[in-house]
Amino acid sequence: MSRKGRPDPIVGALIRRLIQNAAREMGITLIRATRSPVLFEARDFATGIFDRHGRVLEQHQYLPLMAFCLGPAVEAVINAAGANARPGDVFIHNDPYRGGTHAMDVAVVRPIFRGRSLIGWAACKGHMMDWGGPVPSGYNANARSRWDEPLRIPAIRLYIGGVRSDETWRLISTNVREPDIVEHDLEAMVGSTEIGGRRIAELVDRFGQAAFEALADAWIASTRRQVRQFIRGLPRGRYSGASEVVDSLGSSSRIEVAIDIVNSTMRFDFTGTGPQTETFVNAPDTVTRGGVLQCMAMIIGSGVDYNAGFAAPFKVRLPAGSILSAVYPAAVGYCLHLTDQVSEAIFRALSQAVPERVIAGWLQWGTTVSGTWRGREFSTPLFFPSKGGGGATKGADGYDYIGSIRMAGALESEDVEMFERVHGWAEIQELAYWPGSGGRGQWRGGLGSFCQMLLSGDDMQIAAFGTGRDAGAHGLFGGQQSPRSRMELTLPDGQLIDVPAMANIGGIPPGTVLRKWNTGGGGFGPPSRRARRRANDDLRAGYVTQRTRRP
Amino acid sequence: MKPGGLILGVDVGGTFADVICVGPGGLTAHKTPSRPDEPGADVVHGLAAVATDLGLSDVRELLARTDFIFHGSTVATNTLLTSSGARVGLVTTRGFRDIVEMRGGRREATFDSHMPNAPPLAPRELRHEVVERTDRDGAISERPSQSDVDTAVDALLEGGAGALAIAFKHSAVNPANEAAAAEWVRARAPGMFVSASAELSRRPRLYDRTSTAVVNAYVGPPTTAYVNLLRDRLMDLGFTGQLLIMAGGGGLMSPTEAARVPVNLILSGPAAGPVAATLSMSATGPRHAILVDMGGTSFDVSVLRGGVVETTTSHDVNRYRIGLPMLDIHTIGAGGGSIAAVDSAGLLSVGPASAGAIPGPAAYGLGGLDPTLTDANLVAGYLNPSAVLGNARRLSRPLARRAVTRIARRLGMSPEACASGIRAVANGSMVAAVREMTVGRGLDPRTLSLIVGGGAGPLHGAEIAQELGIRTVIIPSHAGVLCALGMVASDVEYESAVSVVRAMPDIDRRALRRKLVAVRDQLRLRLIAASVNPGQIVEKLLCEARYEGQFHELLVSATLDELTGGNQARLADRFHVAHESAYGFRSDTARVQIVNVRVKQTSPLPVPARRKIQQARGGLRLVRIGGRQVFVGSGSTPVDTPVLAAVGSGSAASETRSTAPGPALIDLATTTVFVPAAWSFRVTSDGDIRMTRRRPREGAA
Repeated sequence: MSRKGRPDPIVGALIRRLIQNAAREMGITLIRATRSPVLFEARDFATGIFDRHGRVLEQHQYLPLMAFCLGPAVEAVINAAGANARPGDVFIHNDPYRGGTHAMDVAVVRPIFRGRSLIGWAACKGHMMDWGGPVPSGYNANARSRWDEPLRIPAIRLYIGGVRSDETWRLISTNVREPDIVEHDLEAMVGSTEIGGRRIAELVDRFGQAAFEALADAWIASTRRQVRQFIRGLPRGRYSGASEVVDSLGSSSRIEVAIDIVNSTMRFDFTGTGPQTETFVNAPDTVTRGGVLQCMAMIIGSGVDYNAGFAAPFKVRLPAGSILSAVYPAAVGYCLHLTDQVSEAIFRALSQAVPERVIAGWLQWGTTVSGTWRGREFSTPLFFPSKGGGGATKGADGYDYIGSIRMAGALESEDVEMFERVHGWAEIQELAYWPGSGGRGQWRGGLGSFCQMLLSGDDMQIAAFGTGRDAGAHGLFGGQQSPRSRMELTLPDGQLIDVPAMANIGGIPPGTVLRKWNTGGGGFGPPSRRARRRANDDLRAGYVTQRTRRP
Repeated sequence: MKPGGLILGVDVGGTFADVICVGPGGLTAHKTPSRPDEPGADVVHGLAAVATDLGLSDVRELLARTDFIFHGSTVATNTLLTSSGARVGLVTTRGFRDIVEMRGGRREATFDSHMPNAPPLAPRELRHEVVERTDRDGAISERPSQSDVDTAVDALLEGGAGALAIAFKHSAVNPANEAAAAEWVRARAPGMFVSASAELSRRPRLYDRTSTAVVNAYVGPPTTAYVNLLRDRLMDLGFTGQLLIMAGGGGLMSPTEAARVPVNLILSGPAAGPVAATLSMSATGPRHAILVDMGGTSFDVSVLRGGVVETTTSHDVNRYRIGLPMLDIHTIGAGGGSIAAVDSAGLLSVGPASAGAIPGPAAYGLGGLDPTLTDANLVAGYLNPSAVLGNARRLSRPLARRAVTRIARRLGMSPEACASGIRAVANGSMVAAVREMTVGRGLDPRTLSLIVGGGAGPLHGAEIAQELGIRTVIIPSHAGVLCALGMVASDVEYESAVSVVRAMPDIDRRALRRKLVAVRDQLRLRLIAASVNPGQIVEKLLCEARYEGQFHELLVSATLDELTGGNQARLADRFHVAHESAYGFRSDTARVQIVNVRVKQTSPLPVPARRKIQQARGGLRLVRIGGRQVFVGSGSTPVDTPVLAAVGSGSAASETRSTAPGPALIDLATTTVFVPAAWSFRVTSDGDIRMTRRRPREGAA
């Protein structure tokens, strides 16, 4: 230590690098060793390193929003059992009402010890391919309460003092549909935290605990300073925004946020937001807080770290029992998908304060298909036919075919040839941009997509969950709304099903054709101000058509 | 071979053209500035320098004595990086023309809403669809019509396409439809560069294959023009030997092959590094090693297992996907030119920003004010201030010190301590990169040796090794021109693949055998056309395999009999073992799925030529020429460190068997080696410098 409480600038730089690397190595382990595509292919997980107080030092955003939801899981474990944690313990947690998201997202959290003293935590959280409950994959649009959703787990131990708690594992595998794969993936997650823990213990061995903690304090403090300085550059005041979401029973809920920018703090008050619904369209507060942080990450842009210092200047007030901070016994399966509307409300509010940094609407409509193919059951999320366009912002068109805002382009969708060869029940007949699907504007919304698939499985079921079907993505500052999404099933007998925004449709026979139009992003600024050159390029390339091909 | 024939290796990079000449008098190396403005001129300049060195009258005389020229070029890489390729027109299956632009929906900067998509190399108005259908098993349910294809080609030409690409869905399994269309396209657009996806790759993945065909067409015209120009130029100068071009996947190819698959030239320079490393591994050297190659701007890491670097099948270069085997080389922005700064947390950071060649480090005196790693090495005493770079540039210690002082003040340290700190932080980044390539893939670096090359690498190699717990470091002979050396030691190598995507018990073995034999015969014809050593062709089969349901494939070697005869169990077992060693577990109940079978044929250099290269490497004798004051670690008093230099290279009796203790600095023609105090070193009979850790290591791995 050069000065009291200040890290040596060189030792500090080395420690910071080792922490970042540990979180990354944890992620590589998961990608390489897991067996369900939602983890190794869609990378629907996050990894992180925390100090002994549970403050996040480094989170690796494989799925950006999930990374912001990892801290609350660690906090939940510390609150429930932190004082009793012993070397070799490994916790599991997914309780939506205490720091969790929807029950399919499971966190594995490990205290890191050096001798008998706690020095930090290593954690990862991933979307399990199945976690029990009434429907495969967990998305149950008909859920009315907790009891229609997958298994709920408080902070309990998978390993106790280094010994595998076989009873816990047995309890879990007895309650899920694909016990082999789920157990395998959980073991990979345990392995991931072991690697993270080992790396931190090694660096503390080498540089000492005092140097590690001095770096942690200084790193968090400097990020906090950086964010506070950014906020100080914003115009003070109170800014309000709202959005709406329609649940699976067709009722509309309002989301309201008032953002106060005071000195170097921003307060997000969601008072006025509607009460939790009787459907699965609800989110635990963790998701809303994560959504706030992700919006601010997008507003600030690159060049900042996402440790505990990043979150510190943002205060979030959530009325308990609202659709954005649901409490027991609300169903919360829809969960992270509400980020689309949370972001809309926040960006609408901030459009008054920082018009040059906000982003127009950005929606996603998710789909999974399950059924039987040649006697084997399958349940597959469809990422490639669920990617829409990103919202436009000042100075840039929205990003084409990027997917939901909470993924922010972090995941690459499945290749059509590989998908067909792995999934015998699917034939992809078209996957292309949907011309004209970006909201018009001075800056155009990113393009959405069109997909047509022939489904040949037996007794298939489709789950639909998301938005865009009943209203397109909103524009900002005179930018236009994007067209509405649409999903239709043409059964072999010619019957046409217009799929509702949120539904589980069963009994789909082989030979059914699925057609899906995913809307693009909202436009930014009046279309009349679009540069002539850009407008011409759009027409020539056919990104825009004279008349949008309506589904 | 001509008696006393020479072998030349020419590696043209962004800043320097490195030339190596292997002849009866040993090995000569030269660095001359590269000339992107006048392609080919730098090659001739380099050759002229070598001719002078050998006491020959001119390039003609040099070429008259030369058997082989092995060449790596950045022409294709630069075409892609500077967006200066052809306007590509694409013909593809109806319904899929946007796949190549959608790029799977990835945005590389997650939270940057201003990041635009990568501009398509084949603009949307130049992507035309035709009706045709090949299903996933290769059955053709609809043939394309010639009139549709002709119409598409006419429209593309009308629209100003300067090169054409064709990619049909599932052409990896059965290319018949695509091949028919390609024939029509070539007939309709004679003289136009045309690339068809299945001619380049037989791997399933429509995006990868389409993008590969488009990138190939994009870099095609300028790359082909360059290769032809160089060949003509050399012929005009009387060269009658053989010109071979280095490929990004490792191995050499004929100019004809390079003109057919110019995308193979992308990243062709760095691909030669591992071959040079194998020279230090053969015979007495280690079986497995990590290679690091550090130049002015980048630090490349690769892992050699049994002397072989793994290849990846999918690679993004400048955001464009290339679905061809490329050597698995991990690159980070850490080199001599990496800039040191104080970040918002008050911590020292180094790179990835680089001062490049211009202005370069402050010590160059070309106007650079930012302190770089090279400046730190100079200030801390590791570099010789009177060292002369390839283009006769001296280093200025006062300028370096002034630059380092600027940030040292802000950190409240002396310039020397700050310089040591810059070195430590840069070493930390390099250690992280090595860790990612080893631990991140289930390898324990402590069991491997570290081979270090590049102009800047040998100053840091031992310290990186120490931090990783590695006990042996090898600085190959001519480490400063590692890639040019690798080129002269490479073999001609062609590769193709047969797509399977079936669990092993479900494989139609007869059909697979038929396909493999066909691919083998076709490869052999291409290889014989390159005719380096037609008498000797070595063949290897490699399976890309995984457990059913997995996404990532592992490579396992196989024989034709194991794949198509009765020995499948042995192959499956080899996969289980490989999986366990890579990821820590095996799953005996899961079925093993073969995704692709790669067929790789190699025509090795004639034995006399190879022997000559091995012999030419040797002959390094070191003598002490003085000492330098070196600041080690955080110490504030310098350590007097002996400095050694090479004398009388080329004499056969110069083998140094004795081991000397560190600390020491060894000033060589193209690089400087640092031997820390806890290490000792010796010169091997091959002219390599081998360092070993003396005391048990301290600190963690």
